[in-house]
Amino acid sequence: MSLFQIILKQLRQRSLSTILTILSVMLGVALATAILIVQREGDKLFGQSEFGFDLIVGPKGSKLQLVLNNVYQVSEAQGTIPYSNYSDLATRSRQDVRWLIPIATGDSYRGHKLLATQPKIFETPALAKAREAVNQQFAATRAAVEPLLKPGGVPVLPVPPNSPVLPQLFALQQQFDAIAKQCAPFDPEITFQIDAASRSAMELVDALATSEDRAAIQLAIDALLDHIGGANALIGGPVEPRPKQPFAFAAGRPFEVDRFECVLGSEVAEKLGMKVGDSFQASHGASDETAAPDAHDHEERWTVVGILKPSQTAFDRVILIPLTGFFAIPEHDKALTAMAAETEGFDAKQPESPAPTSKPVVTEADHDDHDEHAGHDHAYHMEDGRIILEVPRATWQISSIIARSRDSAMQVMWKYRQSPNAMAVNPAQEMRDFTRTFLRGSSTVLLLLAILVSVVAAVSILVSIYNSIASRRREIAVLRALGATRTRILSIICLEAGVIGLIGSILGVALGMGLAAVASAALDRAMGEGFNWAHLSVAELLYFVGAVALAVVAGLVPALKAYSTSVAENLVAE
Amino acid sequence: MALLIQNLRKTYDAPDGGTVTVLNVDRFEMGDGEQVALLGGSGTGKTTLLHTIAGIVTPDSGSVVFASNGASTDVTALSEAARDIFRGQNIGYIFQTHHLLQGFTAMENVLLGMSFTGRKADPAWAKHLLDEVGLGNRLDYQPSKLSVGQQQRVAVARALANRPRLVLADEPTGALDPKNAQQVLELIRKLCVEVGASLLMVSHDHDIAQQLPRVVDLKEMNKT
Repeated sequence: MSLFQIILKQLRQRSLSTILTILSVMLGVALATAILIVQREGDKLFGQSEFGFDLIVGPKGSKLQLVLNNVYQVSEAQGTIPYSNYSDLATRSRQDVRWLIPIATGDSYRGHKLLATQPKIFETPALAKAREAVNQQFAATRAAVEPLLKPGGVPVLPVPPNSPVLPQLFALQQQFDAIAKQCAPFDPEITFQIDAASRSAMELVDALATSEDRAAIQLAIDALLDHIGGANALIGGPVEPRPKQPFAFAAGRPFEVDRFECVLGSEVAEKLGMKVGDSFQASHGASDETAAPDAHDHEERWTVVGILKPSQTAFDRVILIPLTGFFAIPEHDKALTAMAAETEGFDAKQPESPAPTSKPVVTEADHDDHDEHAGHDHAYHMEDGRIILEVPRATWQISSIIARSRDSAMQVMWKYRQSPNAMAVNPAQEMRDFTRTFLRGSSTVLLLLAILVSVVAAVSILVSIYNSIASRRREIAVLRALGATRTRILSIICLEAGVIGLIGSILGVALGMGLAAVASAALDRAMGEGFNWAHLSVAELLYFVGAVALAVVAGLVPALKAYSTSVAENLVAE
Repeated sequence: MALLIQNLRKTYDAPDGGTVTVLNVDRFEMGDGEQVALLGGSGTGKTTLLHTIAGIVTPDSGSVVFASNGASTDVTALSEAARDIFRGQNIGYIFQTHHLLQGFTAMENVLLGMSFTGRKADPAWAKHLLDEVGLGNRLDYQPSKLSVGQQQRVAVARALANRPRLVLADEPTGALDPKNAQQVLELIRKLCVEVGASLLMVSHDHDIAQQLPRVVDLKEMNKT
């Protein structure tokens, strides 16, 4: 018989004690394995430094909540910021950011958040082409106009009446209108920017025609050149929830900017069994998964026009809608106007009032108002199926802006340091801090507990085998009489403990991975992101080896007792 | 294998502070293949003598020399580990009570006897031995399912498992009824002849001892 067969026989002979000891080892190793996996994956998940975006701009408040709200789509938005923050970033900070999109939240459908944004979140060849065309157009125009306005880099004032610059400026304004029409379906902000450029061209014409103020003319020239300046006049590019992973469609197409259309995240489509062509009415405010399918607050009906492929991010669990549609919903409009009145002290009945500062777009109190405006008190009217929004842009409030910086998020974050109502955070930095201060600390405590459980398991191995030695003295003496050396007896007992440790640890690792799988599934349900529980890293393998080694060491105490067993005394004792 | 014992002394500490001499053998020898009975009553040092010959107990003085094929080994001069290995390879031990391992079947108990010699286990030989002792149909029986006589026969088979050169039998029939005792004795003798082993059996039973070709009165040999 091999040594291993002898050991298995001995263990089987004490099956109850063996099983209980194996169970105790298994529990210790399972706990530790699960904690190590969760800790490792938690670091990756929450401490990840490679989001597709590195800037989130939102209302002043908890930075962590802003990140959780925008990255993991958990918890409600903590307030709003004026839409002007987005416009400003898109124009004044275009040298700092590669792309940016506004986000507004507040509604849900059967537990899934409606996330209002611009259609440019889905980078399409048409959008890329249009943006490129505009930038080329601007660059060409600047190349033509700049030598006329600033020959040798110095403005020539006054511009002679017969200067070709004036016809150029008029022609430029007409081009602006054509470009605006071309880009409007993808990115309303382009229209906004082009309008600003167009306005600056006209202001320059006026200044040249009427003003003798050289400084004013010079400012107008610089403003125009700035608007049409360089290859980055219009910023943009694929919005990536994960690095180099832009949104991709499993079915359908992007929503249009001014229709009640939506695009479903992959998980929403799967869970709700929805497909392109389906429609629904959204609920107002916080999501409630238990709500009946037909329960709704808003009368607007959203039509599904696209379904995204899985991105393995929380975007899989949201429904994307156009910002225009979001602001068209009466409750949102009313909340905007009321907030603007409250915070700025202007007349809420005046639609052209200035933008309100940071406050929630929607409140629970708004629910009470549903009936009175249902079907009538609309902030929009429809023309050819398109939303014509009557809410002034100045009153728009958004929950956040997500953006990708060109070089470093720090520059933009620095600009927001002095802002009274908005802040910019780097999600990776925030999550690293969160992981370091909260997750790592608590999981280290749990890991220490798991190590303690493993030590207790090792002690139980020691006690179990030690107790068995007393009743096995004669057996050991017989083995010695058959030729087994003391060292062989020592090996047998240590290996017995090792086998218990090995079986317990293997089962423990399996159970630990199972526990981690459950945790992953729970996290996936809660945050839309699971983790790789099926992978064992060096830490888990080291713990496994350590647990087996600890078991062997625990076996050493009874083994030494067996080692010193007197053969002669125990062979005659009966 | 021939055995030569000379000037063997073994004492134990007595509870009263003195010493008790349990072995005092000037000389004892037996030839290769010889079967010898040591006849002695209780307290005559039978078991201690066998333990000393087997290297389980170390004497205070004297030598226990095994000679075979021109080579000789004094077990008293070997280290403990070397004695254990020597015992496993050359000596088969039959106890008064079988001392079978309870979690193991009859076959496994015999195989267990082969486990510490460094040689490859020989299940066919183990089965042959069990056939020889009449337990060929009880290979998978655990000791608790066998009668006392059957258990002792398994112990005999286990002692012969390594084809030892010397079999030491300590009252092998002491716990058996006369019929079983006779059968077991005959089996031991027969198998020792079959494997070419010498047999040194201690017994207090005059009738049993007398069946071996040479009987030595332990009281005369061990002058304690």
